[in-house]
Amino acid sequence: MSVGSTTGTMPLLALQGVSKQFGSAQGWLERGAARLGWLPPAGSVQAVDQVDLAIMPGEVVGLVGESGCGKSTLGRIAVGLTPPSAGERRWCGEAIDRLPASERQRLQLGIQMIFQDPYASLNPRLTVGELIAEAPRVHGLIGRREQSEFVARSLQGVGLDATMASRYPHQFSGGQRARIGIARALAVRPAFLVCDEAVAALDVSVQAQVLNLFTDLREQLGLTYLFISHDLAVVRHLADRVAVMYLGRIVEMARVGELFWRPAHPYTQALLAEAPTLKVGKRQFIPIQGELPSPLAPPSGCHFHPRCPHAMPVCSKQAPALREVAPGHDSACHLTSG
Amino acid sequence: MNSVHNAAQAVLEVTGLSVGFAQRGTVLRAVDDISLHIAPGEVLGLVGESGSGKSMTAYSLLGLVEPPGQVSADTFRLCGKEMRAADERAWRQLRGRRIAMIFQDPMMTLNPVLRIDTQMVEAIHAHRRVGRGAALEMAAAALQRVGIADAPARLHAYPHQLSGGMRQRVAIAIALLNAPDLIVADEPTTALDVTIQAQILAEMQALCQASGTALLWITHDLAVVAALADRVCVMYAGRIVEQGPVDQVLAQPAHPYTRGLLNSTPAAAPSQHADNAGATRRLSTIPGLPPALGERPEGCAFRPRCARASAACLQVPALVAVSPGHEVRCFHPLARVSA
Repeated sequence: MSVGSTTGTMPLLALQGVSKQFGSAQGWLERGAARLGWLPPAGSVQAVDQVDLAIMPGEVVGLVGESGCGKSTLGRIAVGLTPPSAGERRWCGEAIDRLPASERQRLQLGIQMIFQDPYASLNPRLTVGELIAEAPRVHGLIGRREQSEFVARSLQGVGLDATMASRYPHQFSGGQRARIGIARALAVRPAFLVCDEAVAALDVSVQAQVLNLFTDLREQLGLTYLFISHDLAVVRHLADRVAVMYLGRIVEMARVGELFWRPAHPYTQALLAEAPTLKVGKRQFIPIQGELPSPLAPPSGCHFHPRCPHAMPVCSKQAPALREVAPGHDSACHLTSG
Repeated sequence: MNSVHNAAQAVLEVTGLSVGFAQRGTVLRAVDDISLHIAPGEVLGLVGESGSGKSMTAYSLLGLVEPPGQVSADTFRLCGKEMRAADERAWRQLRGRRIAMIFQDPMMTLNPVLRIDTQMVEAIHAHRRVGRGAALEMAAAALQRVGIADAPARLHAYPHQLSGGMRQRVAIAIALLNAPDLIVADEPTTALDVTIQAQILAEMQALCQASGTALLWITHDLAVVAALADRVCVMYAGRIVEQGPVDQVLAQPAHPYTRGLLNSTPAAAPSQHADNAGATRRLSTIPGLPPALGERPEGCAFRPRCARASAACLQVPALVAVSPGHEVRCFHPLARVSA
């Protein structure tokens, strides 16, 4: 394993200043009316706001946050499913989205995605064998004759029986479907996987099996992951480095041990304090107050300031930048930017 | 609080509770011979994976199992009333007043086309004869108790105008309206974010302590049980396989399934190891899958997945005590069985 020895090389995937705005759909009439001041301008959601994220080869980066914080959008930008409104995606140093289409398509095979609900991502009318072989056939990676052998090997690689190739998705349990989703993503031999809540829907005992599969595949194939989850325990188990998002911004990033042991940002501290754990035992909760603000109208300055126990006057005026507070540990907070 | 339970005092006392579904000449038992008792003010956690029968247990406790489901029990006392042969009228007198339910999805409780005040006043008027003004005041007070600021304004909202956490608070406020003796909560915080879940757990804990309301908290999440419950029952394939005080069961699980569950739960607790990257760590897992309802093995249903299974496990083991109040249904428990 090359964990920790990855510094100094070029990032496998780098997101540089990416932002994504979602505006409400408007016709030309509304747009014109808004321009003339007859209608208020359309509300837009800043789902992702100026995020920089570099992922080294062989690294597992966990992306944590609550619903609506933009973690799924950032994952979709990383995989190329959602074009960013601003900023750039670099794959092995190359601005992949500016390459000619054929070249981009070839490189894009290296980045695959695993979704939360594997059943929704599997065509119910195709057998599992067809589902797994579809992409590599289309891209010319395997021929028709190799197909059945390829499918058998793929299924065995994710811990399923090779005889299952002729079955349909509805004949499988949730955990088996998750494995099929993984086999499909791996079928085009990617180097990088974006996993969006890939184990969130599974029962604890099945979740553990799939998490172990992720660990095994990483060792066997040298995969790099961006692992998106709301579950701190899962991220702590799997990730080398963790990024915490709040309302579109990364507020803290550090190696996993450092982040869980010495969280610097008040939001991370609150998340860690409030996640129920097996060890803490029965206790009184002292939760942080308030709800997640609407991303349509985020608070000024630091987005967290209305809920923050340490908020100062500057926090509502100016957004703190992500700064290094310890080697390899970045936090965006006025408390630590001194 | 402990196992020395007094039938006269318990809010809920059931023994031999089963929920069966007849299918092709056989009866499939979703819930198979379970016994539960809850004392006033006690928080009992009911833990299990999907298909373990935990939600069906909750429905049967409120008389909500509809045909073809058949509920049977040896004892079934709720708030001091015998409920074995209760008709729908008897159930309606209890439901919403002495016993209330909170669902995972608050939209199971809330009517999307009615305002919050309409729904809350309706729940009050179903059991009490008070004027509309007094009912509205009670509703506003209930919303305040679950931490909703600006309650009078929220009363005029429709459910879709509220966030998910807010809707669940409203559902909890409706459950609390008539100061019930027992609240059955089926995964009420599973769909919520961590910070919102923490707020709701804190409020439920305070409310139950203040009012002496007993709580049956159904969840798949052992960590939530660890934080909230006094006692815990672990269900597997329709049976209770282990029950006892929560600190004992989590610290010294006696059933191989409970230990398997605990071992397969990744830990989020901070540790001093500055950089223990997850790369080479594996979770110890339970092999195989929980059995489907029609395919439960004979005897101990956990037998095919259990490393300690023997020929004896072809029989159904009885619940035996490993320490006072801590019982396990296993022939080969991990702790020594006391005489």
